[in-house]
Amino acid sequence: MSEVQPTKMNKVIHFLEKYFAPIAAKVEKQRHISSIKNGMIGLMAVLMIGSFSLIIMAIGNMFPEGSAIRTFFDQNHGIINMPFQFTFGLLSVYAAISISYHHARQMKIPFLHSMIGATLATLILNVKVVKGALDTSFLDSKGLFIAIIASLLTVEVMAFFIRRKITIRFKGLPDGIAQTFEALIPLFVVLMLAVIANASILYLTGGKNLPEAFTYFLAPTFDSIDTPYAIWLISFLEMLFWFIGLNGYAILVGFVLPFMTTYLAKNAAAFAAGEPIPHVFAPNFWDYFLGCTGSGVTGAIVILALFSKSKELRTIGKASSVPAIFTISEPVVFGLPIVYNPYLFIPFVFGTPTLGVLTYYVFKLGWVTPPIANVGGIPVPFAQYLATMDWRAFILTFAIIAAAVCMYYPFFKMYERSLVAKTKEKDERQQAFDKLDLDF
Amino acid sequence: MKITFDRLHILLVCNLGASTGVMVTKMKEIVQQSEKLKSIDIEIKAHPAGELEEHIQNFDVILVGPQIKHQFAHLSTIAKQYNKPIEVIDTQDYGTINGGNILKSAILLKLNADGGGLS
Repeated sequence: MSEVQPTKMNKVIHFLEKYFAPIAAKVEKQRHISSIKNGMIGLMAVLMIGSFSLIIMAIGNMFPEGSAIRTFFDQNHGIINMPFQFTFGLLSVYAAISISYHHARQMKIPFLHSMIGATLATLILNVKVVKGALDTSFLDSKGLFIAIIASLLTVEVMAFFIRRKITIRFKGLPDGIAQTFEALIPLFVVLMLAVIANASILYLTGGKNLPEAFTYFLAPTFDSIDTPYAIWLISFLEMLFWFIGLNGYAILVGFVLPFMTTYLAKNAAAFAAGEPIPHVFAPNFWDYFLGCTGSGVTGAIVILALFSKSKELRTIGKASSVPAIFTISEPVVFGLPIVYNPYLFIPFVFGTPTLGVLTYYVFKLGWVTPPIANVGGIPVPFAQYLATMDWRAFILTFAIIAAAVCMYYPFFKMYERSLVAKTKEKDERQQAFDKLDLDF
Repeated sequence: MKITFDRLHILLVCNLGASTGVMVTKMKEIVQQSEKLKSIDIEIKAHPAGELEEHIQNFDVILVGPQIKHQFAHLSTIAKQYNKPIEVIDTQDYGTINGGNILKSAILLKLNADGGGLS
């Protein structure tokens, strides 16, 4: 079996190489998707510093009710909550800044006024005027999708005007001031478009603003990614990309991150309010549970490699163990290698999403609290703990790794056997070379 | 093992015949510098895999670039028709442009084919 299967697998691999790789390259380069991706990754910094107050709050909640420390935490709730409110609570604003920056960079137009324009459009579309005062309650994750679309459109409009030179230009002005004048017409157009869009939505929906209308009509779509099917499919595609040597996370995250961020914001808000956690598929679910120890739960392969019979595999295991603790999979993915390795295709590409769905149910059944905070750069298993603030996450982490070890074991052994045979073959070949007794 | 032949014409085939070109140059250099190969008529050329049938008769051994390994089954049926030994180049040797190793494996391939023919 170990002989037949890889040959059949080779056909699958050639198919992937031929049809799948070019699609991946195109998707990753598509300019809007790439701006969303880069912008949302930049936004992670805001989510991480905002998660800080959630973690502090969780620490306070560990103390019994009525104790001095708990009382102190409760009394100062407003202050402790402030970092959360000004980060998660204004997520749409930061998204507009971050995405428009990356999009302007990509479109090669001046950054500053593109970012001002995008923020302006986002604010107009997401903020309601109630009795003359600004109601900012839609600037959290509720306005996120509108912020993304508004930012991209704003930069496109600005680029349209600037490239066709439909701008005010005075000769001999210093660069900085000239750029300000140049931005006037496009900014005004953006402003007018946003106001008109906002007014028409308010008129058409009888007073609902865009985020309200959006959630009203698209609510089912919003929840649609937080399902076992979607998680399986996304993870499957990710692993397929990885298998052909492309960073699947980087290719897919542009589509998925806006949804995950929305879920995280809802989870965080629920946690801060002491309510049940509504979603599972937050960014840290992908980072630290679906991709525990690296996309494909590659830490399991590192463990198998560390105890391998083959010296070559042991060396790779040693080299990639520290990266695995920091959830970095590249050394083992390219070193073992896992990419284009027919022996590991089935567990890596089909096993990973299946494990991910099982993990989803562990959260869904309430056995472990889903991710409520967003952390990064923290080693396994502490990242899993901090993301959920639930000690059971430790157990889950080790359970995932143990399950992955079992899943990879038979396939890994097949690969190991072929490698040992190959090493032997190589030694024999070298001996034959030496027997030729040549002078090179 | 003694080299028992006095002629070895090696054909390298790859996708377009371009990527093995570097390898050919490297192997030729080695042949020129080698004292022990002086008495043997060695020729090395690279051609696209699609043209294998046009050129195969002029060569003694065929080496296939590892990047077109998937065509090996097809190429080896052609080689068999003309009774020429064929082999895929070791990926590592190919990647590191180890011309010496590839030359040695071509010699071994020829020796084994000749020996196999006698027994």
